[in-house]
Amino acid sequence: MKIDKRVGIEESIKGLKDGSSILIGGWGPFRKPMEIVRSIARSSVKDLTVLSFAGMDLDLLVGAGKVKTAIFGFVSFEGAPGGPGNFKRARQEGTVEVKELSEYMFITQFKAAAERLPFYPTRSGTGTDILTINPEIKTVKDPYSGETLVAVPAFTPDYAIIHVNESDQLGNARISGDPYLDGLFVRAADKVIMSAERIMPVGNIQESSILSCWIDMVVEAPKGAYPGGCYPDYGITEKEFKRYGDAAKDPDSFKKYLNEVVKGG
Amino acid sequence: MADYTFNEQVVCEIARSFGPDDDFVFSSTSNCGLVGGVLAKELYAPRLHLSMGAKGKSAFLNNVRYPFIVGAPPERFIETLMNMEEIYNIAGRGKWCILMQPVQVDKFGYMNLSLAGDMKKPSAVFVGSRGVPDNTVNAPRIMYFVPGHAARVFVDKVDFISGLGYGKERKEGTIKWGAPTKIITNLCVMDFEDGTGRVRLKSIHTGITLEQVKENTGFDLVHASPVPETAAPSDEELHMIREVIDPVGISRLDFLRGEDYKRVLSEIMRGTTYQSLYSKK
Repeated sequence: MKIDKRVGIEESIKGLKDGSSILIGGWGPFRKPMEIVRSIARSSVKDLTVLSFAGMDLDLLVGAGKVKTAIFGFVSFEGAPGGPGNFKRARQEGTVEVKELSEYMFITQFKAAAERLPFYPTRSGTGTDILTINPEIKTVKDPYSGETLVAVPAFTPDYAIIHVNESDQLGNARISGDPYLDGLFVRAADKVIMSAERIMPVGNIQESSILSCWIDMVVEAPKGAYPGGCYPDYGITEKEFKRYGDAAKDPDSFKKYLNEVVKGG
Repeated sequence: MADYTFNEQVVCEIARSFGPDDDFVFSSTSNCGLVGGVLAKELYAPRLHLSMGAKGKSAFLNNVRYPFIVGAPPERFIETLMNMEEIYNIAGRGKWCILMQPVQVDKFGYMNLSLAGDMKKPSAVFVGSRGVPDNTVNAPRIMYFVPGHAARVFVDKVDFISGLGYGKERKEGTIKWGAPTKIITNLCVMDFEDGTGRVRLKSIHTGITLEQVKENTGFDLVHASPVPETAAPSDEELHMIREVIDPVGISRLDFLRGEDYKRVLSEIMRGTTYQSLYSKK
């Protein structure tokens, strides 16, 4: 039997339930699976836990009322115009549960999950208010030296969602720029949805960045990271980031933006 | 009148923070940091690695002449490309030195990059603590850059501890690495008093008074009397900055806001993009 993991974009997210946790690949405004993020914003799911090195992805889902809990290593447009207005407002008003982590603590929860370990020991977070606002994160004593370390609990997301330059129908994929932590994310999650700029014939991708054994669904999505960048296929569309940033400053203007841009008028 | 500007003095102070044994990666979030890093590598710390984004990845840069105004750095400055994951490897092993720009710093060097006001209902939200909790336990050394020295930045107690200063973690010896060693602002240079770990005023930039520094600092500063003046740039440093590394003066941009920033940036950009600089050579 021939395996073909390609599905349509709406089909790809139909397993998402209220309360699902989704880990989104990429970095700030770079190589985010925005086409899939927009389809989640259009869907009826709610109360999501979103985990991300976040930019517009998290902010858009917050603005669309989809997010119950945000877990992040940062929330930033990383030099692109505009900013995460919906997220900032939600954090200020306390309407979204916020679990701010350091960048490395964010990574370690998936390192632990990917190796099926209960936690990952690190010095990161020691003495900081990251531990104050995340009281469930405990410390552990090194049985050899007695040193106290932070024990970041494993997190296995229901879904990881990433975007790549090229994939075959099995999910062997090539990322041309920085893979960021996507290679780890796909190993940590229960299910993985991957969108790709281009679908290539099987056998064409020999130097893969992502192996097909980690991938459950492949979605063909040209310009799938728009308005963010996907090196080297396209850069950031600054005009659209500015438009987004302006809209996100205010709930009413963002509602209009969602209707025009995300829900297609 | 001094024959140098304060941004040049800041750049030299950054460069002089490094020496011949510094075999680690230096990264920064500012133009002064970039120019200062290149100057350090040229004059004081040849083993220093300079990191910056290029070609959709991070990169080590070498032989940088003329910092980046517009677009990606030219090929000839790229020593090698690396993935983000490698940066965490470098940081974990203690070879990532970053010049960070804090939102707040307190009198023991604890720093905040997360939020202002109450942790549960903040009055302002910033990017998050990011790599600060990682860097302040791992880095070979940490430096802070504050282009707008103000009492709202230098506070008695930070609203959110993103990074460790000199407190019980270091006194008890549980955390050995990542200590802040220097804070460079538009007014002065600060370091930390031995024993107490308190922020100490080390030197004041040319033309700035002790009163100005005190008025703009929200806690009592430890300092010698009289406070020394920040060392003047040498002729060699000024030559390198003005003729080789930063002839258009991008280090000015860190201290400008609003219309002033736009004006100087457009001056710099006119005819000084990489394409225009290198296409004719």
